[in-house]
Amino acid sequence: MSSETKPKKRFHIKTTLILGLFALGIYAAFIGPSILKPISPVVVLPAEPTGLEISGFPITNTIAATLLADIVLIILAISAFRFYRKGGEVPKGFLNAFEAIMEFLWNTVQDSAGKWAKRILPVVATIFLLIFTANMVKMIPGFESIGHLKQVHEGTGYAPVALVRMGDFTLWTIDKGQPIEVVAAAGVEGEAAAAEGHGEETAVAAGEAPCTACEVVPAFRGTATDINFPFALAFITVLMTQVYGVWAQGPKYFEKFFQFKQLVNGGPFGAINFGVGFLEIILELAKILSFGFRLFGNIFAGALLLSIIGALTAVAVPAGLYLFEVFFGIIQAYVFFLLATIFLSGATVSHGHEEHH
Amino acid sequence: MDKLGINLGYFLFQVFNFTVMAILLYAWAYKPIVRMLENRKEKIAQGNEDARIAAEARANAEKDAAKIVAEAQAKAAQTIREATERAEVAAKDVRAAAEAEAAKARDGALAEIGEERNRMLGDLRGQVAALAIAATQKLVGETLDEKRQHALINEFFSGVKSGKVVVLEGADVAGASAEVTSALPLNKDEQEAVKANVLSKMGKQATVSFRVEPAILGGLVVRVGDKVLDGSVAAHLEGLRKSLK
Amino acid sequence: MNGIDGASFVEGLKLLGAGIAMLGAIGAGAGVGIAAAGGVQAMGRNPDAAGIIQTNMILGMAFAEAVAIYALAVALIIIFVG
Repeated sequence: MSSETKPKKRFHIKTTLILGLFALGIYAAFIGPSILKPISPVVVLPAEPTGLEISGFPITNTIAATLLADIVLIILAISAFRFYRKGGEVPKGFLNAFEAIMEFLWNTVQDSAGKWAKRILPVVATIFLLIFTANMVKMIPGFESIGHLKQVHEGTGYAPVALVRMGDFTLWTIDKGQPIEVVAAAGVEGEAAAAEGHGEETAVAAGEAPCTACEVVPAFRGTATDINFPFALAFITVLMTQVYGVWAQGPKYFEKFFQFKQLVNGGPFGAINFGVGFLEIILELAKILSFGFRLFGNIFAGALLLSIIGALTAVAVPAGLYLFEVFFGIIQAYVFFLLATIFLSGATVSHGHEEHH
Repeated sequence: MDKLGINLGYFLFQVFNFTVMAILLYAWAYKPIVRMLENRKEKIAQGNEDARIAAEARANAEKDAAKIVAEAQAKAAQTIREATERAEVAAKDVRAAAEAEAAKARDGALAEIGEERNRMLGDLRGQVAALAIAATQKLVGETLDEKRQHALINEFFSGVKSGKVVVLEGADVAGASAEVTSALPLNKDEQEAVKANVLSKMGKQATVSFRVEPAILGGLVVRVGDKVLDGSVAAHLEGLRKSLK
Repeated sequence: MNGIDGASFVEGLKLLGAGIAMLGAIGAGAGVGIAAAGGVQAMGRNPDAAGIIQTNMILGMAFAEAVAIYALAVALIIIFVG
């Protein structure tokens, strides 16, 4: 509150801070030693394993990010649970934001699903919250830049440089000034860890010699840039659409797909309608595809744009892009949520007597 | 598909993760929050309903109050009007009474004044007669018979000669009322005489009033209706003056 | 054509093909824009129905966008899988 009394002073402090950071960025990216320069990221679609394993199941960097989002959500949920169990009415801080989001979701679901809102809410709200949290967690500095070093088998790698040594523990970075072309797939894979950032590059290593021509495998990567995540959500949405359809309408729900009645009674058009029924099945499968690729495409393109622009300009522009990313993270979560709500609530309403001609 | 990153294990992990999260969030967040939201909605609806009822009650109360006030105002206006009317009537009465009183008082005062003047003039009459006799004695140089003198003087002032009004001699008068003016007030006998004389001329029903007007100097002026019989000394002197010219 | 072997040539053609596949995004972009224009216009004319219009607008935009997403899928498959 005291800062409000001197807004001008605070403004000056902020201005100085921001200009200082800009100057630092310009120095690191264009003037300083090559070791500080940002490196164009390696475009990889599949999630890379971080090296950790849980009983044989490898943890990829996107799964690590998913778990991080899970932890955030669980903490929020537990605090909400404890708050409301005590009979709290007016939450504060993060909890207030959480409640506002929940109220918004609840109102939207109620508007389109009516009395089925309570049964549909858990599915669609979890979709929204997971995507939203995953997209927001992605903004934490260090995402997609800190990780371990990996030997490059083909293409361009960079020579590792030790930054800090503390006993067994070595912090590595890679030097843009020492590119190494690797032609054949020959070389020993280093079991060291390293990282690369847009300007401040750090790496974690355990051993003496990590690798000769290295690239960074980030420890955390945006969840939605792993194609499995959006497709899992899309699959669940379409699956739950069928489940809610059967729940609400019973076996009658499948008449939408197999219109035997039309085939028997409908005359020549009946056969066409029967064929249209099969198209509905394909439509359901296409939903998975479009749902999944929409989210994946938006977030992956955003991350790609961010790292490429970050490597090229390094200063000021990525900040604007980050803002853009926040916006798109919210929009994509909302679109996914809204479409899921519409499909789920649509499945609970009977299509049995709809006119097909 | 490996190059796209699609991996059944990771895919199933995400499905599993979603399911776990949905269940956890349902138990810890959705249920209590939705319950709270519904409670809040109910409370707000209840509050709105209460507010509506209160507003209605207030509107009714205001209407009643307005009615009561209007009634009171009408009543007050009527009371004021009545009071004003009554006050006006009372004031008129009071004024009339006061005026009557004043008129009575004035009349009384006037009568008193007239009487006083007549009395004073009556007192004066003796002295004037004495002075006149004394002056005449000086002028004529001989003393007239005292009794005769007084009779002459009285005759001069009253215009009545041996019980008969001089002006009326030979005159023909008729009317309902007569006014007799003399220079000095007449005494009772003279008044009786004049009255009897006038009445004998005009009939028993006529009324006779007396006035005193020193300007006529002596004698009587009798006015009956629009006819004036002037037997005053002033008129005689005027006639004398005209004939001397 | 010196220095270009068959494999590189095929690689280049693949990238070209992926680029051409993304032309499908043109139609989707136009469609999304038209949907947004119509939706905003409708909301301006009838602000009371903004909620329903918004829902339907986003639904329509999603279907229009699906075409671009198929194009993206094809492009990705060409680059990474084919």
